[in-house]
Amino acid sequence: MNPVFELDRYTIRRKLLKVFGASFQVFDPEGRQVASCAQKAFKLKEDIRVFEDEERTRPLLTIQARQVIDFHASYDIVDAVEGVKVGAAQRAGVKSIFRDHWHVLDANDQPIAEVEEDSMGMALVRRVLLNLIPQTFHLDGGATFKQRFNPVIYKLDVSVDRDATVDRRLLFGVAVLLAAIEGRQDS
Amino acid sequence: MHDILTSCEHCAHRFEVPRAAAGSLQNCPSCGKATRVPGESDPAWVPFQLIVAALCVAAGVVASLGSGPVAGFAVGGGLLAAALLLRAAL
Ligand SMILES: [Zn+2]
Repeated sequence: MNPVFELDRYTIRRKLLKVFGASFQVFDPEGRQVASCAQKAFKLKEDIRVFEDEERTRPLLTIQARQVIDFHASYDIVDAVEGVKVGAAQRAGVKSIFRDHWHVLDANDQPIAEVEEDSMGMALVRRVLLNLIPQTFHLDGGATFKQRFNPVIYKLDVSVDRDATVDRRLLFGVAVLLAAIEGRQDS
Repeated sequence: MHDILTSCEHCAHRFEVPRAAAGSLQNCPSCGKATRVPGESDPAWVPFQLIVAALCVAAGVVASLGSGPVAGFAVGGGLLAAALLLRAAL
């Protein structure tokens, strides 16, 4: 497995000044760039590619929305090196209106973990205050995703527990999705 | 609820997946690689597409009556191309 997936801590940063689509960079705790993500423009159904290098020649993951009209937004996360699906993430439609909630599924689409915004109180305050307060998400399979307070650049700090039960590649994909989907609501 | 019969885009192996997996990527039971399961297209799509095509043609006819056949082809063809592009983006 790529060493990127062995990191316990990393930061996802949205690149500024991208007119179409979106672009993210991932940094390790020492500030070295370890991955680069590109979200395809002109696609209503999300298509995000994660690469090891900034030149985007060495793919790590692909995250693709399901090609179907459904109420849940579901995203399949594929190890781009092996070409194997490692799992999926599904945004809980109704629940997420008040408090963002995602289901994490394994490769056979069986639920294995839940991602939830820190607390209902904070979630409601955020919705009233137009997302000025940074979001924090907890994954019950052993990870925390914490948005930094920065009204200009979206940054998400990811910290994975040593004994996390969820596949690290899947966790990485979920973190990128949170930055891409939930982060978009801020801008 | 019937299952969906699909075939792997890598090794052509045919297998069934639950209907809930429509439009998703699933690992092929034979080669293990992720392959796209066909999505159930919404039954409303076909008549909707026909209506859009008919509107494009009608706009072309109206434009050709007003400013000649070249303008008619330009307007009708342009609208049709725009609709196809939008469809591809979806
Ligand atoms: Zn196969």
